[in-house]
Amino acid sequence: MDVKNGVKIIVEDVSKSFTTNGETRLALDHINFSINQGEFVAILGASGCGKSTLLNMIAGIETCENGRILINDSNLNQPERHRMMMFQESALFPWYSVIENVMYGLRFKRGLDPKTYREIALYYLATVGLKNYADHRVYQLSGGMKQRVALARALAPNPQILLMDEPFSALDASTCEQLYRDLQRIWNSKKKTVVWVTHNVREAIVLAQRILVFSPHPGRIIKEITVDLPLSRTIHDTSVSELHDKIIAILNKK
Amino acid sequence: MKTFAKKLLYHPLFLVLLVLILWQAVYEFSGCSDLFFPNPKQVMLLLYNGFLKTYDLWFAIGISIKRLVIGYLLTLLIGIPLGMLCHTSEILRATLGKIAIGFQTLPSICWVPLTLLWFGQSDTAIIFVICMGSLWSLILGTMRSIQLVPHIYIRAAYTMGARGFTLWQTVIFPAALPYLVNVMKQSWAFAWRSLLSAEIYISTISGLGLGQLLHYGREMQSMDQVISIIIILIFLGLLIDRYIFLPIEKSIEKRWGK
Ligand SMILES: Nc1ncnc2c1ncn2[C@@H]1O[C@H](COP(=O)(O)OP(=O)(O)O)[C@@H](O)[C@H]1O
Ligand SMILES: [Mg+2]
Repeated sequence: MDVKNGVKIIVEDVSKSFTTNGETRLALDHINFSINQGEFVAILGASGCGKSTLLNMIAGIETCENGRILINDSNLNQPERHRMMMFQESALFPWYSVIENVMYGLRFKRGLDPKTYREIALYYLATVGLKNYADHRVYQLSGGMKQRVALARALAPNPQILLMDEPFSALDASTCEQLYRDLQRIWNSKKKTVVWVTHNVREAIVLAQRILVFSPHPGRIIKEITVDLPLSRTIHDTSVSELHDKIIAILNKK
Repeated sequence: MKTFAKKLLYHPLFLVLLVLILWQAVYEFSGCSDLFFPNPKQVMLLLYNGFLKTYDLWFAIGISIKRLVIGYLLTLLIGIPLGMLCHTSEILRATLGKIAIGFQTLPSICWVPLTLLWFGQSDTAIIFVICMGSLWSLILGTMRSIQLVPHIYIRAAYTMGARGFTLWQTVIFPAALPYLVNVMKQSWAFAWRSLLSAEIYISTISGLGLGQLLHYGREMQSMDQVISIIIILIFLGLLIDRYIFLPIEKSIEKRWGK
């Protein structure tokens, strides 16, 4: 653990249940983990094991029923600018142009001159490789491009933490592979803390330094895996495949 | 030449022309009295005189449109905020929201007797009827438009830090706008109908609108006048749709890319 920077996110004994039609079901059962500053952690599990719920709680959109979540040692239950979130759908605003979307979050950042918004947005559009699309409308973009813009929008206010809820799960395989490469590059240069929710085992291995494997009904952490592989790994690497098989075995045993 | 013929055939004016010819033919051969079945030539003459000689019809259009615009703007001014409030406040939704459904079904003409009592034979009375006729559907429609806003937009904006007025101004309102424009159009149609009901039943000294001319056409057994006014009303409706609502819808479509 990097002692100098301290722990960034602590999830402490967090549980949550939902009541639908009078039936109460436990979605998350006493979850404990912590994430260091600058760490890339994947939350891996089948659908329905409470991944989104957990991420929303870290984002402050949902409340904990039990336990608490600390960010930088303070108990925050309001979404703050140092956490940005990305969703499965791009959630780009179709009434704005591409660059206006990227600029959107900047207005909530204090001490930023509005004259610099466009410049900042262009920088992050360039980071995701879409500088030439600044004045396009959202509907003119492909699914992959939309997620790139959404990534630029999340990066633009320079948050310390990125919370990603299966952002690539609606995209085709080759688009994903491209985005993995870009994401590895961006994460390597910007060193953000990333919490990446996914049901895709290979995706988790390729991107994350550490994987928290969840099981459903109720959502629990069944295994924590450290990925000790070179940064520029791809889903085709044999080392990735080996780890993939290992994780699949863990998931099947459950 | 072929394309020209096709263009003509597909143009709405072609049908208008056909109807006029048929109308004239029926008039000539049926031998009905003018009282019962007006002479199209007479109607055209009346329109010609009204627009180009006495200018009466221009005045009537002006008077009616003025009432309509005032009534409709008032409706927008009251209805949209109330609809938003109904969305945010549970109490208002449970009370006003429910009452509005009842009022919405009430034909605006039912307000005429009370209105006359309260405001006399005045423009105010007509404007009141317009508001009563168009307000309720606007409140309900505004509320529904906001409910239809995809939740993901609000969540995305919220996590970026948008709250309160900014959230409304930058996300909820623009996201609801495509639906809202439809609702406003529907409300306009209600306002338009209410205007005519009110004008037919309420005669005013401050000037005669289209509905009043139609009413007096009936009183004077001048079917020429009745038909002329109907023709004007149809044209006005078309023009407003084409030059006010269509451009708004087009510009939204262009941005959203539907
Ligand atoms: N708002 C809610 N109301 C009721 N049940 C919910 C709600 N949100 C999630 N759940 C339930 O909680 C469980 C976990 O959901 P979710 O966090 O979306 O899982 P995941 O993202 O891993 O697919 C599911 O069984 C789901 O049905
Ligand atoms: Mg989910």
